[in-house]
Amino acid sequence: MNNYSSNLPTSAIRVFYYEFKRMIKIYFRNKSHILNSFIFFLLSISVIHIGIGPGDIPESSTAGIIISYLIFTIILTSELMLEEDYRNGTLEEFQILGVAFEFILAAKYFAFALILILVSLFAIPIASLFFEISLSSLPIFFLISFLVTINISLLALLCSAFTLGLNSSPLLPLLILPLSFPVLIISNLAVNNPSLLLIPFGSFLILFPITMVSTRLAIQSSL
Amino acid sequence: MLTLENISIARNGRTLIRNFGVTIFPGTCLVVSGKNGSGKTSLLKHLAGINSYGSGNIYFNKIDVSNHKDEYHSMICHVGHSHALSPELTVYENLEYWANLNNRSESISAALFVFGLYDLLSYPVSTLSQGWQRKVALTRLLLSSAVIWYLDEPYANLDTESCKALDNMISAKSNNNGIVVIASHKPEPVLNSIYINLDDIMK
Repeated sequence: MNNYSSNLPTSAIRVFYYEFKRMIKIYFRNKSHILNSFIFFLLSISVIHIGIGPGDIPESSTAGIIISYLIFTIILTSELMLEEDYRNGTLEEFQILGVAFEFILAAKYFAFALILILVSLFAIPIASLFFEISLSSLPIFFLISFLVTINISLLALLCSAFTLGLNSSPLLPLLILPLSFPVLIISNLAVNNPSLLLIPFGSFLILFPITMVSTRLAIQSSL
Repeated sequence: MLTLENISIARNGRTLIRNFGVTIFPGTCLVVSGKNGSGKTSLLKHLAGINSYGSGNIYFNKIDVSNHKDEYHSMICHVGHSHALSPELTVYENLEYWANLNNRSESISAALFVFGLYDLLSYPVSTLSQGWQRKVALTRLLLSSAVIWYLDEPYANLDTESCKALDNMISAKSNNNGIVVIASHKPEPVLNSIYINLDDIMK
C-alpha cells in the first residue's frame, strides 16, 4: 500500500485541474441557467430604473441595489455546484478517489465563481449605464462585485451541501440570505470608503479553508 | 487479500448486517445477495468507504485500511446504482474525465471496444438509454488501475451480450489476481466466486 503514498500530492493537483475543467464545460453546456440568471439581473435592474428613475437614486444606494441582485443571481445558480453530481452519484465516487475531497470542492467553487465573475463583467457595465454611475466609480464597482461573488459563492457552496437531497428548494435561499447581510452592508459602505473592502477580502481568506472542510463534512453526512 | 472482520451495518436504527466476516483471496469474486433492503448496497458502500453506516475492520494485505484511507481508495473502483456520469457531457468526455483522474488516458481507446461504445462517443450521456449508461459506467472500471472492484447490481439493464462482456471483464480481473465484490439481488454465476446471502446471515 505504501507505493501509492508518493503519488498523492500530484494526484490532488490533477484532480483539481480536471474537475475545474469539467465544471466549466458543464456550465457552458448549461448555458440556459447562466443566461437566465444574467437576464434576471438585467430585468431586475431595468425595472428598478424604470420604477424609480436614475436621478433619484444616490450612487451609494445604487451599489446596494446592484449587489442585492448579484446575491439573488448567485442564489439562483448555486444549485448547479453540487446538486447534479449528488443526483448522478458522482459525489459518491469522489469520496474514494484517494485524494482530499476539499480539492474537488475547491475546483467546483472556483469554476462557479469564475463563471459568475464573467457574467458580472458584462452585467456591471450595463447596470452602470442604467444608474448613470460615473466612469471613475466603475473600477470600485467591479472590485465590490468580485468580492461579493467570491464570498457569497462560498456561502452558497456550504448551504447547498447542507440542503443536498432534501428536495426543499426554498431552504437554500433562506439559508444563504441572512449570511449574506454582512457582505451586503460592508460592500455598500465600501463605495465611499474603499478601504473597507479589506474586510470581505479578509473574511474570504478565513472562510475559504473553513468552508471547504465544513462542506466536505456536510456532504459526507448526506451520502 | 481482503479481510472483513465483524462488519455490522445499521441504518435508521435498524441493524441490517451483524458481525459479518470473510476473507477474499486475490483472484476471487465475492457475490453478496439478498432481498431488497437487506443491506447489500450499504455493505458495498461501507467497504468502499463511501458512507459511515457501518462498523468493523477491513484489512487489505493484513493492513488496517482505516489508517491508510487514501492509499486504500487509490486501489478500489466502485460502480454503484447511479452511473456517476455527467448528463451534459458526451460519452467520450465522461470517460476521458475519469481516465484522466486515474492517469490512464491511454486506456480509453481499448476500453471502448468492450461494450461497443465507439459509435456513441459524441452523444451526450443524457440521450442514452439506461442500459447504455450502465455500459459507460462499467467502462470506468477499465480506466482505473484498481485492484478491488465493488460492483452494485452490475448486470442491471444489460442485455445478454453485454452480460457476457461483463463476465469476461470480471474473469480477466480475477485472472490478474484482482478482487471483485458484487452485490446483486439475483446472483449471476461467476467463476471463482464465494456466494453469501445476507438473508441467511441475519436469520
